[in-house]
Amino acid sequence: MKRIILIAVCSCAALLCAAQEIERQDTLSEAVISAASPAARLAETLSGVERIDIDEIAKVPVIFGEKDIIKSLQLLPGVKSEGEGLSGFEVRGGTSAQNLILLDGATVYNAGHAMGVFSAFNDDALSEVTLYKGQIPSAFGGASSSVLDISTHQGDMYRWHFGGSIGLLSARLGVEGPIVRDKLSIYLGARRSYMDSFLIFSKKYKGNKLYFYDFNARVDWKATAKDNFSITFFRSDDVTGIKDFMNVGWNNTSVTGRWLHREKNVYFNSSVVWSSFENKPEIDILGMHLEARGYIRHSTARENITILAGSHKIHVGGEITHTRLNSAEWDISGTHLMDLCKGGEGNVWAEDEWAIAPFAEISVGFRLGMFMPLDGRHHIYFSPEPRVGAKFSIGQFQTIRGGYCRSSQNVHALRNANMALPFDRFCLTSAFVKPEISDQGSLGYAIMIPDGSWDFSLEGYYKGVQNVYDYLDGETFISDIDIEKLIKGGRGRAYGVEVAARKNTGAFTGWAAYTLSFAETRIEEINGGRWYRSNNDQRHNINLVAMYSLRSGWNFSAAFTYISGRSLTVPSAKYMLDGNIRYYNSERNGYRTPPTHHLDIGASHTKHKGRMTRVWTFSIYNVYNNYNPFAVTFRDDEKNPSGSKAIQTSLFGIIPSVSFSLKF
Amino acid sequence: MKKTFLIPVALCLLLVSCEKEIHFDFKNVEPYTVIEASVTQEGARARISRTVNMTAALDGSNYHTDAEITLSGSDGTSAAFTAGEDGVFTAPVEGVSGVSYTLTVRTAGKVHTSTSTMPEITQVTDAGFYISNILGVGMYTYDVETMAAPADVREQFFFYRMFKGEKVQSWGISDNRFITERGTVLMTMPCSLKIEGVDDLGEEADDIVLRPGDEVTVEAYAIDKKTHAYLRSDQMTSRSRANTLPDFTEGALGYFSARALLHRETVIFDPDNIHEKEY
Repeated sequence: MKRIILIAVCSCAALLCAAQEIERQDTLSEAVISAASPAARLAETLSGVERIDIDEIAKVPVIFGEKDIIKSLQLLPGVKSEGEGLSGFEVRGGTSAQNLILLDGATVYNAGHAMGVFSAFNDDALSEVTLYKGQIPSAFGGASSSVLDISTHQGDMYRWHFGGSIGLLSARLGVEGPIVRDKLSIYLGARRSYMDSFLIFSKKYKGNKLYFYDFNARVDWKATAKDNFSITFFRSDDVTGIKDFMNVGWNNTSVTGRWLHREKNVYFNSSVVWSSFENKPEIDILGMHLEARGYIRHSTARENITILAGSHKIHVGGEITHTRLNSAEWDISGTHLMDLCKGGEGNVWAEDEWAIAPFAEISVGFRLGMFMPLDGRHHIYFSPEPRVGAKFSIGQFQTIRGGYCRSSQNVHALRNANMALPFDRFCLTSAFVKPEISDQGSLGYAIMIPDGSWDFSLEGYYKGVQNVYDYLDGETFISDIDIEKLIKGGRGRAYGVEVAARKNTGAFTGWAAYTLSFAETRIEEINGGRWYRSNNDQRHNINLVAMYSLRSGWNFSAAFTYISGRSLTVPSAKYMLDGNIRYYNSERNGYRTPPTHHLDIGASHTKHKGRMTRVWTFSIYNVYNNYNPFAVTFRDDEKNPSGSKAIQTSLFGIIPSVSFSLKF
Repeated sequence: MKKTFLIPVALCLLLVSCEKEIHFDFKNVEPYTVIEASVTQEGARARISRTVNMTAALDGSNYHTDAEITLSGSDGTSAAFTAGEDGVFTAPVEGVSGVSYTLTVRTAGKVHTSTSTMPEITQVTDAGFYISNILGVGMYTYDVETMAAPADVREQFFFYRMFKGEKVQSWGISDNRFITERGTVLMTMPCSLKIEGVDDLGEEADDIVLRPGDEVTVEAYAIDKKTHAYLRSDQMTSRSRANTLPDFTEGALGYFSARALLHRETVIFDPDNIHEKEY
């Protein structure tokens, strides 16, 4: 029976991959990240901070009408995709599960649509995006790799706007405006794919489900000159189903209520947040109904106070969070098995950004976390997290930055695959599973040409991670309910150098980024207890992005990406057992897949007429049609004298696309 | 007219997705001993082989007889294996349910041991070929159903396989967490796709089809938890990038299982007399 379940699950995965192929979102032109100005980049106190300008992204061509902030991040130094064309991102040797993605303070897990081909965020609904890949401000915690802090778009307090776009596979609509002028505004944005519309034309596939949608709503109220209130709602949902056989779905829902209050030089930011992530693969087969449902729900109350006092900018705050996590709730023909974990968490922090002198700034922060698994065992984990950063300016146009940051994570994702999937299981810190703790040190240098036309940066980092968990040999998401029996903890380390050069002004703009990185893991009982390359250890990453604007409204862009192959476990020997060939791996991740590289080009034409703006966007992903590795498998091959062969599966070849958007 | 909407989808499908063979510079490693051994009500047998490097041929005939093998049971049983001309070691021990057996193999200067307990025999309530429709594809299966104990009372584990000639056509494992509405554990062996014109298919299709008149042998066993865990890890190795769980000491690969034969049948595949099953 297990074999049947596995066949079914593999069938689902294969069909979902086929679905991905149909959707074929890609990465091209979401390319443009023009963070803040070069001067602002130079002025940043903390190292490893990337601020993304959403408006800039809107100027570049897009594929399928899908501007994608997450894929744009992947073109930054130190950030890469967890798989070609996928929206999951990895930062400085971490996995995507070690990133904390916050949407208005609410945690979003598995932030992708259609198995990660599209990101879960509608860029029209976003206003500010900041990625902390090195030092993390003390107000943030819960991630051992990076924090992506996203703020949603506030509705216009003075004028109504309507807009929408349509691509080959999805469309989006947005409306915003004042309910009470200069007092109360609203923003509503929605996006839905319509791949399922194609299915109804096929008798064979009619009745199957293949769609996603997301919805953003935000209401802002300027109560007084000193008080602003807002409520934001976010929902993203993926539904993939094969009639009378299986459904795979996952969704994120969050609600944030926020009160901003200003009292002279003191700013109060109070919020309450509720967020929920659910995944729910289910299969009906051979008269049996199998469900593996999981969820993570956070309820958080948070207060952050910012005080401006001369050369000091001081942040103090605290938060409490209640988490309910269900790593697997199996319903097998009426037999209900559940693995529910609960935890209570409290954090307090204080940080001082101090401009010591015109040429020197420091940031000294401390975050104290307390996590208590609510499992009756009365364990309490305290996580003292010092965070220190310093910046020294050499003249007006050069800076040296460095710092140290400790952060911890209490929600642990466990994966058998390289990428986020609905089959991922999660576990919470408990008496058995300890908090994942990372320590990162970084040092960087940046220089800007006096007129700001070019700037260059160089940054190195070293990161050590304690309590990294992975499945034991031979265990998977479908193994036991009690996940603590299936996993083993160990250590990780990552180090590397990031180099970037940016052209900021003129008709021709863009950047070049190179990352040299190493990532290793050591877990007892795996690889003989020796250090081994992490699955996402990819030595070289080169991103070249170029844009050219004409006054006629035409914009042209091109992006080239090269990433070394992923680490891969390849058999070193084989043997016969029970009449079949079996493989033996002498070392974990001892080989690499072939590298990934592709060139993407795009062109867009923007025309303004009165209040109306329309944009046509054309693009070609993977111009020279290079088939990049998505997976490598080994199969028996009786024609081959050795009896086996290695097969590379690729998802994306050359993909042309067009989209149209209108806003007024 | 409506079908013109499908053109972009069809075009896209042509442009994406592909598979190709790639080549690795495989590292060579010292050969490991591989042991596959079992004891059932019918006797005890074992085979010893060595791993070969990835580029070497592996035809299943490289069994070794340079080993001393003994079996001891918790009921006081003790026996030495003797090697036959076909490379198979046998011992005159008839397995008994509830007895724990320890296999000891001395070969290549090492001593490898493994212990397994023979489970109770359960009653088989149904066995035979059926046809199922999965995602619009007809699939022939051979199903074995056996009585199940409630999972919270007693754990039960099962192993099943189908041979076509000497080759294993299909195998799998099950346990009594997966109980049918009839209170049985279902072991389903997918053994052939239903394909028109199956006689015209070449030998390369042998892995996915049975042809009318093919003779197959089906076996179902009750196994212990340790063997189930080993076989489950064996199923997962290709997906989880991991080796199978170690079953023998001193680094030998393979496994030893004391297992209770529940069902064995040799049948001729006759698709005209196979019907859908009421699940």
